[in-house]
Amino acid sequence: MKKNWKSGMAAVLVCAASVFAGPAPSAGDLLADDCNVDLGLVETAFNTRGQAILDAAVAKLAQLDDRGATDKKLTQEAEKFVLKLAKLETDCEKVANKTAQKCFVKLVNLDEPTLIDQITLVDTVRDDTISDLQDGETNFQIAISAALQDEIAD
Amino acid sequence: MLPVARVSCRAGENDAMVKQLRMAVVFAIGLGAFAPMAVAAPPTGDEVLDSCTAALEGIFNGFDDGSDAIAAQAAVKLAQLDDRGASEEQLDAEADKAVVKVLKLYTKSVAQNTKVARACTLKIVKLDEPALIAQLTQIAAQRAGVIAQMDLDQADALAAIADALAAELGD
Repeated sequence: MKKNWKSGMAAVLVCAASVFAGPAPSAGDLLADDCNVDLGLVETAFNTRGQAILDAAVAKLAQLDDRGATDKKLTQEAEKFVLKLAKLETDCEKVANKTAQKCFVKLVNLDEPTLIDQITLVDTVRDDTISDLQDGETNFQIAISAALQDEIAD
Repeated sequence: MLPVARVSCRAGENDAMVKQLRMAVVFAIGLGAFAPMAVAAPPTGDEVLDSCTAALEGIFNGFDDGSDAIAAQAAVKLAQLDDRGASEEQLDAEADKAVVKVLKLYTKSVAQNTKVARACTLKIVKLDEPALIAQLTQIAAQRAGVIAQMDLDQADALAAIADALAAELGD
C-alpha cells in the first residue's frame, strides 16, 4: 500500500514536471538553436584568430624595436596587422551571413507555424554576431595601436 | 589630318575588309541583343513580393471561380434530375458529388497556395535584404489571408449546393 502511494506520487510529479517544462521544442526550434550555436562559433573563431594576430603584432613590433627600427617602419608593420584584422573581420562577417542564410533556407523547408519567429531569432543572433565582430575588430586595432605607441615611446 | 580607312564595297575590292566590317556589325548587333540579358539585375525582394501576391491571388481567384461553377452546375443538374422525377437518394448522391468536387478543389488550391508561398519565402530568404522579416511577415499574412478567404468561399459553395438540394427536395 505504501509502495503504491509512493509510485503514485512519483507519477504525479513526473506529470507536473512535464506540464511546467512546456511542449517539446520542434525540429525548427532545434535547428534555429543549432544555427545560433554555429554563429557563436564564428565569433569564437574570430576572437581566437584576432588574438593570434594581436599577439603576433605585439611580438613583431617588440622585435623590430629591439633591432632599432624607425617609427615609420614600426607604424608600417602595425598597419599590416590592422589590415589582417580587417580582412579577418570581413571574412568572418561573410561566414556569419552565409551560415544564417543556410539556416533560413533549412527553416523555410521545414515550414513550421513559428517560421517567422525562428528566422527572426537567427536574424537577430546574426546581427548581434556581426556587431560583436565589428566591436572585436575595433578592440584589437586599439590594442595594436597601444602596442605601437609603447614601442615608439621606448 | 586623321587617316581615314577607305572602304570600297564594289565586288572584288577590299573583300577582306568588307567581311571584317560585316562581322563587326553582326557582333555589335549580337552584343546589343544579349548585353541587357547579361547585365539584367536579379529581382528585388519587393518585386518578388509583387509576383507572389499576383500568384496567390490567381490561386484564390481560380478556387473562387471553380467552386462557384461547381455549385451552379450542381443546381442545374439537381433541377434536371428533379424534373425527370429522380429519387431523394439520387438527388443526395448528385449533391454529394458536387460537395466532393468542391472539397477536392479546395485541397488542391491550399496545396498550390502552400507551394507558391514556400517558393516565394525561399526566394526572399535567399535575397536576404534588410527588410527580410517584414517581407516574410507579408508573405505569411497573404498566405493565411488567401486560405481564410478560401475557407469562406468553400463554405459559400457548400451552402449553395445544400440550398439547391433542399429546394429540389422541397418541390
